Amino acid sequence: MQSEQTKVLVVDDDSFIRDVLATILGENGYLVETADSGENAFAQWSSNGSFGLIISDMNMPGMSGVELITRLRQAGCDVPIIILTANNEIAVALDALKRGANDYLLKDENIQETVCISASNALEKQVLKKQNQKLLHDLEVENERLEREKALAQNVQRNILPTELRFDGLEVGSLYVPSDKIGGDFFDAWEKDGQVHCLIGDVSGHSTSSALLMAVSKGILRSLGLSAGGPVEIVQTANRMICDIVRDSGMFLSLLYGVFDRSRGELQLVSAGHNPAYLVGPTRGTLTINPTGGVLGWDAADTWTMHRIPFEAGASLVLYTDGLTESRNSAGEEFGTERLCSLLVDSAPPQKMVETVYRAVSEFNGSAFSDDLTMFIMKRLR
Amino acid sequence: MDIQTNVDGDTAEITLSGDLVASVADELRQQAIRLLEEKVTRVLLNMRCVDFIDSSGLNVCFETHKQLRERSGVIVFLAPTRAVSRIFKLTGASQKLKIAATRDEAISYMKGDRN
Repeated sequence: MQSEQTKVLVVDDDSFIRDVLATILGENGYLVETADSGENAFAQWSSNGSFGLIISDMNMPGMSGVELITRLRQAGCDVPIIILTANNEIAVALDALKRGANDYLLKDENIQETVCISASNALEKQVLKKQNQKLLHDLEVENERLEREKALAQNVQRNILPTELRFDGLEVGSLYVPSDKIGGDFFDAWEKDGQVHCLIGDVSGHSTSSALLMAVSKGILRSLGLSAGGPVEIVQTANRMICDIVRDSGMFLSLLYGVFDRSRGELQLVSAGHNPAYLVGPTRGTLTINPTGGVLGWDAADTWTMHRIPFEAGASLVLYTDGLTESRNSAGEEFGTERLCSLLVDSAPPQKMVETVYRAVSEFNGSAFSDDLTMFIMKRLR
Repeated sequence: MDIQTNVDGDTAEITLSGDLVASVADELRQQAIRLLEEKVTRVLLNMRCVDFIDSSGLNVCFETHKQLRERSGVIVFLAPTRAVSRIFKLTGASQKLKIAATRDEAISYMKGDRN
């Protein structure tokens, strides 16, 4: 098994035993050195640390076998140690094992065979142990690398989401709490030709491909939104482009795309398979905004319709992803849309409302968020 | 999640039980790939005991549907529970995937009575 010969150190104050073991081991392909005391053995190991195995007697004058083992292990020696014992020294043997010996051999008439078997076993275990240590180390290094990559990716995702959202006559509140995994949620808002566009999206899955699709989709939608067309056209064009990217992977994203048309004082909303959104207050209570078509990424020929709803001064458009409503407590209960609606108070400023909801969900699920939590609230002030 | 598969020539029935989510979805994906390699073109996915499906689960459903469609094959989703039906309806999957309420309906669809 060894390509080079293994060097063995045989330690015993009894020269007869030393010679017998040296002969047997030598005949079996080992290179043997001997020491006649614990002190000499330790010195030999210290000065020439290339031993693959140490075989030592327990009962020696001066430094005993147990002391030798203790000193070797304390000095960082991880070479396998086999101890030699007489029949009445089992307690000593056990003590030695506890202090770091790997095996014990009885000094009896079978020693010629038992020493070789024991040596071979000890060396094989050592090889496996080293291989294992290397594999674990490599795995740790790889894991650390992946964690760093993930942290970088999460940073990029956070950075591509808008931070400063200010629109004349509107107040905005938002929240993005990615789960520990790579996120697939995104939101965006911009103004163009007196109209304010806003959107919230949720890409399927939690893998790297979800994160990539999230970044790409966000870019596509903003570019389309800054050029021409109403929300239906934008969503349909985005869908065609996204279908071309996802092909048959089964990946999809749900999306709610809204435009506040200032001239008409109305909201035009396309919901592509997205969880119900809400328009809250001031005079008509809470209106539920349901899907007007399926998710994006399914079929390039898909079409959507649009809600047209008056956007009164004082009303708030509440968008969020299902990580919020599907958040579970320890009893397995979902936070749900009812709890969410009960928290949506139309007179509260959007950022306050977002924080209130977040606190409530946090309390409910004991801060165990298993999915991204994203919220976006836009209130018309005047 | 438990996945039981029965194959009979070009037809396979997969019975799922538990939650069709993330890591589990991957197992189902692997199973579907294996079936496609074995030239199965008709799949019945028994959803009676699936309590919950998330976007990863839905992902696999879409993927399998599209891949079978490409091979002129078909997949039928049998008897989804209320929670799963809700997700199918919300995302528009109910308009795209073939969903059967009864086994007879599913078998008849797989045999070619497509309406």
